[in-house]
Amino acid sequence: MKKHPVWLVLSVIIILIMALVSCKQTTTTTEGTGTTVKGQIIQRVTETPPVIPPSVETPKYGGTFVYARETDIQGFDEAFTQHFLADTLHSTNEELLSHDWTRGPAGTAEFDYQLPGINRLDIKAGTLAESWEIPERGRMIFHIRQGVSFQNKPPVNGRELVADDVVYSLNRLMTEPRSYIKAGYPAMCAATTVTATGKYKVEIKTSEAEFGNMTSLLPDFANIIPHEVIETYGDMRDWKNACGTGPFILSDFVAGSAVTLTRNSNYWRTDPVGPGKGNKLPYLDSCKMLIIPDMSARYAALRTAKVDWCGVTWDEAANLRKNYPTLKWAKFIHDTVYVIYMRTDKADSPLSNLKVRQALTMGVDYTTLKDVFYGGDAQIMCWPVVQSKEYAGAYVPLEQYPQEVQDLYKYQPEKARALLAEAGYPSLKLTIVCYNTPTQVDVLSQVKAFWEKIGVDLTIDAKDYAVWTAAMTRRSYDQMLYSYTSGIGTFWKMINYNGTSQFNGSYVNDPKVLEAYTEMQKYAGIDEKKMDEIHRNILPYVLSQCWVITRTTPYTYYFWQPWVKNYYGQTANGYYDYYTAHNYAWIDLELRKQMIGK
Amino acid sequence: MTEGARVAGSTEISKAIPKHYPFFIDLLIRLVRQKPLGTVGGVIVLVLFLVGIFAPLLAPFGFNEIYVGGPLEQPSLNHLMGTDNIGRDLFSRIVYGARISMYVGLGASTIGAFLATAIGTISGYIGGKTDIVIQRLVDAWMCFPALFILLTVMAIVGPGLVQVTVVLGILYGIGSSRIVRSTVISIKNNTYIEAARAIGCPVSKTLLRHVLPNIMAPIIILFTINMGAAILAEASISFLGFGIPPPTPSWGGMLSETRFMLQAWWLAIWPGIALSIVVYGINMLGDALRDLLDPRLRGGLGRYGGVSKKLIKENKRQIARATIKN
Repeated sequence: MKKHPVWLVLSVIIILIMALVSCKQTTTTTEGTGTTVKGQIIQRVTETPPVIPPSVETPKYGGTFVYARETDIQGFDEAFTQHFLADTLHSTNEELLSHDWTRGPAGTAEFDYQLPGINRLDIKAGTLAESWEIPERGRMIFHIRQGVSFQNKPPVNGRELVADDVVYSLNRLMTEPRSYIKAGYPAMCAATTVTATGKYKVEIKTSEAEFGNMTSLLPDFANIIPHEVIETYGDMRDWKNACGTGPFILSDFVAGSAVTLTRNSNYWRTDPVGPGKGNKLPYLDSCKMLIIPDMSARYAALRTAKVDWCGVTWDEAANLRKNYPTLKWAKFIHDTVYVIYMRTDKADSPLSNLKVRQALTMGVDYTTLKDVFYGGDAQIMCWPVVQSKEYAGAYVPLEQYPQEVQDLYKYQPEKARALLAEAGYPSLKLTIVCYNTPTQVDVLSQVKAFWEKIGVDLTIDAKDYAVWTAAMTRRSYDQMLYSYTSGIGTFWKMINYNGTSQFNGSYVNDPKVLEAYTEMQKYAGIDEKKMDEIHRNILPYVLSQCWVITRTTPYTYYFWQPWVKNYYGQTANGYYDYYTAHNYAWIDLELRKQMIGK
Repeated sequence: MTEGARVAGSTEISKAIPKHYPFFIDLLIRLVRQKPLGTVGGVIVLVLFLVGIFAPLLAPFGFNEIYVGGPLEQPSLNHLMGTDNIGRDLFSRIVYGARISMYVGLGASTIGAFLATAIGTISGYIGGKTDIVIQRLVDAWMCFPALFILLTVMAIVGPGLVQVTVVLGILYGIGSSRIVRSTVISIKNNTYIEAARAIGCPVSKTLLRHVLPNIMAPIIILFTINMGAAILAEASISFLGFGIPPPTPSWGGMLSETRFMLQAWWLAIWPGIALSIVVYGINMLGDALRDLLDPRLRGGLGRYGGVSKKLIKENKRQIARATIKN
């Protein structure tokens, strides 16, 4: 019994010592510019990342590129797993078209290919299709590249790719009931025919109404597979059955642990640009993807050079940059951003009132969110599209909007309060459904605090993942929902504020938008720049309606080891072709040995 | 004997007899005298209640007042326990978190105590087939791990203060009913119960007037023990994201925010210390109350520390005789 008081006293003394040691005058530490808010602010990276010039070193063969990834591979057959979840397919198989690497950071640097959802025909280059034509709206002809072989494994045994393979693959994706293309675009699938008009010529015909969908899906969202695999095994869902024309062969997969891809020595492509122009690809012997669900473990693996590449959140990026200056990095605003959707369709709801929505918008201090919460490492205007090189024509920076639109995004609590009163809601109770994660809760807690000052009491209804996902996909929520938008590749459908998809979470049904949408469809698949112009012109109106409460969006970071060459921070080499950074990359084995001894 | 001598004599005699206080005051006095750790525990519990009740007065800021300091500011004179990643004062959040712990602890214990008493008393007193059926249901309930039941129910009903309190109360109530039942069984065969039955006292009256007062001791102990357990359980489910909805602070919920703990140790330390101290205090109080109230631990001389009831009666008789004589 006498031991209890002794331990209690010792514990109290230790705690007091810790408390006294930690108590000290606050000091303001700033690494850059930013708003000071009652104390010290941690300033993060605010400057743009260093431009990584095209590689001038002669590429070398060999080595293994190691990724750290958070989630497991969800599947190996696009007919059963969505394209953007079947990650190994982008290494083992190929599509008709992909991003033009020569116009990327390794070449002319017109584009940086950081957004995964980039899908513009005017920046694509032929992959399995050497070239293509659009004779008229509704018809597309692909000239299949000759001399391309499938990987040399049974039952395909390295035979040449022909037009029939393209026909087979595309028809399969348009008819298999569980295929994303079939399930998501039934009208397009019903209206489209794919035929081989020669050994190396494929013609795709569809209706004018579905031409935009067809051009955005079939050329660069559908991998070409050999029919023998399906005829022999039924499908490609078993990783051992994977076979394609891609630069790598799937040689091992341990669920929840690792994926191994080895070089396809029979790969057709050569390096199109740079000091390695004309070299056979790939340079790497192999590529590994380590599945590390825990974020701190991934960062630790990056810091200790167990992995060569890792995606990093904005809050960890500053730490890595400061303490590991040899690491290379790139940052961008991801094209799917989180916003607060509102039920604007319910006539009896205050959220159907424009003044209420505008007041809620003015009631959020975006600048504080950007400068204080994110330490300046964020952008305010990210809806309905984010800023990017590829879609520069479709994006309008906040400072270029008309003044009345810019004013909506300035923090004006008094004006917001007055507007609410004018609308007949001097006080308001609202509920928002979100996913119960710290990142979402933190943002909404701040919004709640901001809105308290304008007389709005926000209840945060944090749900578990399944419930939140259901609310999101079915748009089944009462007042507000915190969810994400569609990627930039669908901007031409105005999907984030038009239509019946989950991404029109605010149930917008506006005649002006419909008019612009109808006009836009005439140019879908034909004239990307015209679509940019139509989108740019409608944006001021869209933003003035405040159909969503945008969120100041932090940057996403990629970090990679300095011995990884000919990689520039791109996310994908095609439309949602994740984990393809290794296709053109090479490892400087000497440098690696110098730095880490192996 | 003179009046003065009589008074002096009776005073001397009465000094030998401990004063009779009401039950709770007597308990409090013995707690302070005999159980210093329990007293500390009691003080901690009292402080918890007071902090919870007067949270708006004690906390310098609101629990969701953002950027009252810089994000992740170290403890200082302006912010005694530092700030979190959105500039909220941690001390204020700890104080408001005490309110949550108080609500959940008190609420869950109260519901649990009522439920345990109801189930245990009925099951123990009535006995027979009723007892068998009820106890088998309790057995089945106790087969499931508590956290599993908690998470399942919270996933169904959704997070919320009321939901957490009720679910925890039911969980502990059913489990604790066994203890109450065994106490009821041990006293139901006492003579005074038989006498009550013999004179035709209805069951409800017997339970209320004879059984219940005699099982108060274990109920009080259960109450305090379950309070500590409820606070810990609430911390656990908040840690897992099923507890109190944000941004209402709860100590467990604050502990679950691990993203910044490497760079801001105070985010983990203060809620952890608060939780540890409160649970420690409640457990110490519960231990002390158990020692004081358990008849098996009173010793051969009973609760009056050496003075038996017989001796007290004898002394009273002597005083009366002395008074009459004089």
